[in-house]
Amino acid sequence: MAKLPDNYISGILKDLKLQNASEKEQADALLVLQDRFDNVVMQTLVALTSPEQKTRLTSALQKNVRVEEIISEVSSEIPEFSQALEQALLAEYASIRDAMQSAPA
Amino acid sequence: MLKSEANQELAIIALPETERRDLAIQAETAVATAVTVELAKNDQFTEIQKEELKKLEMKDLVAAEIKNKSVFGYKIKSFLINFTAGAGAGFVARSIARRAVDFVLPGSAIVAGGVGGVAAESARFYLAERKRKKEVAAYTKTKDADIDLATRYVRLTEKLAKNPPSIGGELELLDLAAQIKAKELKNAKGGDLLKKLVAVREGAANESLRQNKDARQLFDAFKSHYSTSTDKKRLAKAALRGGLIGGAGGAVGGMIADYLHGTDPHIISAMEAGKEKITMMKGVAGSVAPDTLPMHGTVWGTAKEFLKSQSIEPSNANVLKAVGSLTEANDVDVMEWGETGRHVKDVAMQDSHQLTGFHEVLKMFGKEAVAGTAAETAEVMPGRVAAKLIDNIPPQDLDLKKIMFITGTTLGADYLWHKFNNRGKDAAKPRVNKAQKQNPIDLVPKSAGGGGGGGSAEVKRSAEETKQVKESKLFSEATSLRELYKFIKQTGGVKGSEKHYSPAELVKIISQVRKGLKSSSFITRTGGLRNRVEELIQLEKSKKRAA
Repeated sequence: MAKLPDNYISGILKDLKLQNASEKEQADALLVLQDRFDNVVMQTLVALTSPEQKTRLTSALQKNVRVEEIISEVSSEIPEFSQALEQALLAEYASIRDAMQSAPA
Repeated sequence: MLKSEANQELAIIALPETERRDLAIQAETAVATAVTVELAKNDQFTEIQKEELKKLEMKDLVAAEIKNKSVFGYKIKSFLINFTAGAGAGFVARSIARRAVDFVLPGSAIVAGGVGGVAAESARFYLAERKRKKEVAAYTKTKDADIDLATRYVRLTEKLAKNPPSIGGELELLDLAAQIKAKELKNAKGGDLLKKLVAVREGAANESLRQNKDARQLFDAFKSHYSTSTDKKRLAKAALRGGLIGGAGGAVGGMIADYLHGTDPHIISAMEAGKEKITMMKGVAGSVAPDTLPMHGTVWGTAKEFLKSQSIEPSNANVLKAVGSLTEANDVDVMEWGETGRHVKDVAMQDSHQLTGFHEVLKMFGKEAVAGTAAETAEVMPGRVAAKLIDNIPPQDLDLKKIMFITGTTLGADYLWHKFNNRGKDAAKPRVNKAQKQNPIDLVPKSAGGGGGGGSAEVKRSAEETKQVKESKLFSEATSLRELYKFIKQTGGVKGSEKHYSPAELVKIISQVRKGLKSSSFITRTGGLRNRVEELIQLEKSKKRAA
């Protein structure tokens, strides 16, 4: 499991081997990373829900009624959801970091 | 037309719509797998051909491959080609096959057999084809590494579509995708590499979800409902709230306890909002309130907030009564009242100084306390407390930093990005200092829980951050210095690390830098302004040279 850097900005940029990149490139990279993490949250939720829960969520989304409430309800029913989410995010970070670090300079 | 061929066509046409659809999916899945493992063995294609093939739709590729070929003695007709190669509901096969073709070498022979056979003989052949595919897959495992990766990739997507959900499987799939795309990624560097890498992983993740009909529907519904970044955070907030309520709070408890002990009493009100449920869960009667709280601002202010959180009228008389009790319990002199001789003077006390005796205060107002400390309270129901914490964060302020800190992790690129754009004199330091590392106090708005009073500085800082993010976006969009000046005027000035610069000041400095009278270090870095000016000056020079 990835150990996340304490000094977040410089640590992550160093992890990604972007510490010497231009400011704009660094900002863009962090935005890309953020968007990926947002999507991981969505994908993890979709992956871990049962068919019945998926139906409940899809129905709420289609009717646009109590959507967030249903999401909370469903995610509360998934055993250890937040740990799974945390692990998914950490593993995602570790994979991206490893790939960036193994790239030639 | 041969009679038997016509019969096959008729047999397919005569099938009900759903069966035809299923048949098409089955056929195309089998074809796609066959394409993946068999075509991968073909090394006769040049690099240029491979590139061309990558651009082709699977439908076109298969159609080209099987055109004019005979299968089991029958010449395949265009109807069958289209039917099996994509005219039906062939998204499954197309996506897998396109991916496979993208990743490995395309070939020929087995396609004709696969397509023709599956289309003509339906499910029976499909099953036989599956068996054959497994044998081929086993064979390819001993061969070229790319083939192995492609095979594993396709197999894993199939597995993920049918088996119970597996985050581990999903992640393995994303890593496989990145490995398969290694050659393409090899040529990219830095931020470009990151973008490509994320795109590959994103694509693989989306496709793997799409292999399952229910997941696909839900995923599409989510995508359409939560299209912007802020929207996605609303989703994350709701999901995390549920996750925490659902029993993920164990790890959170300690952190929340630290949080409560360490600094801010405002969250107490958030905790107390759920106290009825806490009581129900624990099976104890009465209210739950901490006996020890960190001082916030003054003893007076802390006592007032505590009374509010306990639904006790925070009138001056009541606050005075509470302060009297607290100063007595903590041996504190209130200098304004002319008190002397005690252990601590209130003016010498700092924020976060631990004040005890809140249970006594409750008793004075005829209330009973059950739990002894905030830590105990937090441990009772950390999930709900954390959920309440999250509830109190406006969606636009919810970044993964906050989420993950609350769940016990410490990563959130959104937060990092904000921090990045705030690089000033404090930017080199992490926002969380050593003493606060265990404490998410500065990650949650001080106003969380509706406590009031102490949140203005945080809100102000948050507003500044938002402004700087906007500035950064604006500045980065400027294509000329003239445009940049316009944007600077729109911002109404920029806050640097040492002072606030008015638009006129900034324009003057930039103009001097442009003329070479000053170095660019005179320009503030806020919002990436300095870099943008340097880029635009460079651009201007290049244009002049070209002219």
